[in-house]
Amino acid sequence: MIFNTYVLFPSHSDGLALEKKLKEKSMKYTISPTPRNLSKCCGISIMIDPKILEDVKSIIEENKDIKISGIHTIERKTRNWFKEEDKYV
Amino acid sequence: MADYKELWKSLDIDLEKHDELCEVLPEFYGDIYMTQKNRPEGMNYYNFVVSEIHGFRIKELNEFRGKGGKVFGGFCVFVPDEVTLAAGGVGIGLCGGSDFWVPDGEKVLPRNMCPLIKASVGAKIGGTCPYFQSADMLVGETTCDGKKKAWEILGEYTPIHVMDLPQMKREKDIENFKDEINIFREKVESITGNKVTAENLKENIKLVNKKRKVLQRLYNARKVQNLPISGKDALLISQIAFYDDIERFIEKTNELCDELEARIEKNISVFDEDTPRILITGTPMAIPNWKMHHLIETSGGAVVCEETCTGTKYFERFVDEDNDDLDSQLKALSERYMGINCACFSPNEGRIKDIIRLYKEYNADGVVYNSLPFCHTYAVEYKKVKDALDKEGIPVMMIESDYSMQDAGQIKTRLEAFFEMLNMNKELAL
Amino acid sequence: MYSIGIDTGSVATKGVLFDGNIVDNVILPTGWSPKNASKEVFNKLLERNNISEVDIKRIIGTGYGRISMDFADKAITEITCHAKGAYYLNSNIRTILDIGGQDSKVISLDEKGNIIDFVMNDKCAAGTGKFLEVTLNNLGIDVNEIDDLVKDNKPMDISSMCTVFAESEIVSLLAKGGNKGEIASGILYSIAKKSSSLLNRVSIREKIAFTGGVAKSKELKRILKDKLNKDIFTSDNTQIIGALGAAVIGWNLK
Repeated sequence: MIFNTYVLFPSHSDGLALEKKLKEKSMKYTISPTPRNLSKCCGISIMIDPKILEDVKSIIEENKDIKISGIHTIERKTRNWFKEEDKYV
Repeated sequence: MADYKELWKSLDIDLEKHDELCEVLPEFYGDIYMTQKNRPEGMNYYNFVVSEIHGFRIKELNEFRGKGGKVFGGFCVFVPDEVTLAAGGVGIGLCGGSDFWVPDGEKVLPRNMCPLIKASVGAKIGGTCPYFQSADMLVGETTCDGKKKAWEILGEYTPIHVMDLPQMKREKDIENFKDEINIFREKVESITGNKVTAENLKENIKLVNKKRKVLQRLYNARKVQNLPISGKDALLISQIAFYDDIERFIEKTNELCDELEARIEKNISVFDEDTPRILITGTPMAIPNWKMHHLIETSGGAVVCEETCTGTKYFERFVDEDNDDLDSQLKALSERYMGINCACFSPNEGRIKDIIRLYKEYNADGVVYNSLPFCHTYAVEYKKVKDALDKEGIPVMMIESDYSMQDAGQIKTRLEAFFEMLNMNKELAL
Repeated sequence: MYSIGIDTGSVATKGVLFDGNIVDNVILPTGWSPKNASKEVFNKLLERNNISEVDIKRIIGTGYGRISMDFADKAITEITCHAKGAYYLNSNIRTILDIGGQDSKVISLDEKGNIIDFVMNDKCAAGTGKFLEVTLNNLGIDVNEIDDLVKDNKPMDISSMCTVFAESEIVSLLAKGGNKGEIASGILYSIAKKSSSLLNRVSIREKIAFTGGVAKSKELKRILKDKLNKDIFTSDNTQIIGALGAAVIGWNLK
């Protein structure tokens, strides 16, 4: 099982502000659509490896002006959108 | 996360139905895009744009309109953005790349027609696309019979201006399209209340050329042996080019190109060395239509170039920047746009030359001719293209497919067989 | 040493044991699990020939179930395998018409047996084994009986290429008291018509091989021959050609 951690924000500008900080510290992250089961509002989140969560948390601590609306670690699941073969397997 | 509900409501979006779209998009994008390995970091910007596809950019457009700005929604690479921008307007490309909108389109259109048209019309009449809702005017063109007649229906729902695109490329046709651009200029001026002058048009010809240049720079990075970026990602960037803020898009795409060029220096590739390189040619791929690229790149191939409206047709060739009077500028615009080798022209030998040239420029191994169903111009033109490519010894495969997922298994088999054939050709050539 | 090719189709799973020549072959119904069917074919080939896994140098999977064959060394599409198999049986073959359970395809080969071009039917079942199966079902007869039934009967016109429409067309022909032999003959003509339009999408060069389960019908072969005015080659091994091609590829792999 692979897990991903998502940082959610009240607005995209907070997301971009955290992105800037992560970039400065050369930390690996991916801007991602917010998974539907975490929030019903379309918008960005930042996806990180759960291993670096503590480091990211301390960056958030240091930068009080960056508002977040949650941190969630969930299992990565992929759906085969163009399925055909696997339905009998 | 930011709540855009109020914004959508103000745009008269069918919130409930729109929510169904919001429900699938993150997962769809995540599975198709985020599962790719070793993506360039610069793709984060485009992840951002897609994640906020109905949020951030819509808000931006809304603020622009709040200050009296006007938004023009287009469907085609023939609409001259230079003119829109010169009048202080903003041009955006409109949706039509998903099955989601097709049932609404079928309420007013026949079933047996191009899914792109059905989806575009459906997106408007179903009230589920905030871009349509943000447009003060739509701009259609006469590139095919289906669209031509669909504008009449769409016109019942929203103001639309139709540009008459000539279907031949004689001197008088270029002159005619110049007139059409002039009529479009008057229309845009009347809506924005701003004059298009030789000065501001010159400036915006330069600006749109700059966007073409950065897209060419991106595509140049796909000509090398070790591909620094997937075809799927490059397609996404082309699609986003249609509706993103032009200055920001140029800046961000140049940043990405810096990264890609550094990858090329270091021989970093997102594909194995012997992956067959595919040139795609055919009908446009409107967002979120990523089907063919996804199928190719999950069946052992790599897309190196798109000879499509969401590819080279959009950015190749520049508008002459050295004109200082409106008349010469309009002429230069007409010449550039009429140089696009769309299948709506007869004859269209230029497209065949383009395909052969691009095949060589991008070091492709084979060509996938992709056509949406019921697209007569592209489907008929296949014969001419196939004959010419056979003569050149260039392998080509035709795949006709719509937005649905049902034929994916069979298409994958055909693609895999095509790649096996290309690999065998390569081995024999060694 | 041996190689094994397994072709897991939608209806049947075929296996060939190969050592430079065909040693043995097995055909089993695919059933609901292509994975189990292919494993079963594999085991049966070993068992019947008193050999074990260590004697097998390569296992190549093909057919639509190739992806689920986790014990195979490589998955290769049925298009490439069919080309190899037919060419192995007759190196004069340049065009192959293959009608399988779910799809029909035409493959064009060069003099070395490499694929130059191929076309496949789209997602519709017209002109495939499925079309034959469904329509014959309406007549209450089995695929294997069709040649006897059709013999010397003039074809009744079945105009619908679409399986669903053809079905209702046949029902109404029966209701009008249509002769079963003439209807069955009409069904074969319909398949021949669809097949020749598929063939015409590539440049047909002789010799032409007709393969796949549907190629077992001698009447269909005759109709095609008349329609194209060209000789058609079939093989008694028609059903195992894909598996054979897979085995040949496995054998030649370094």
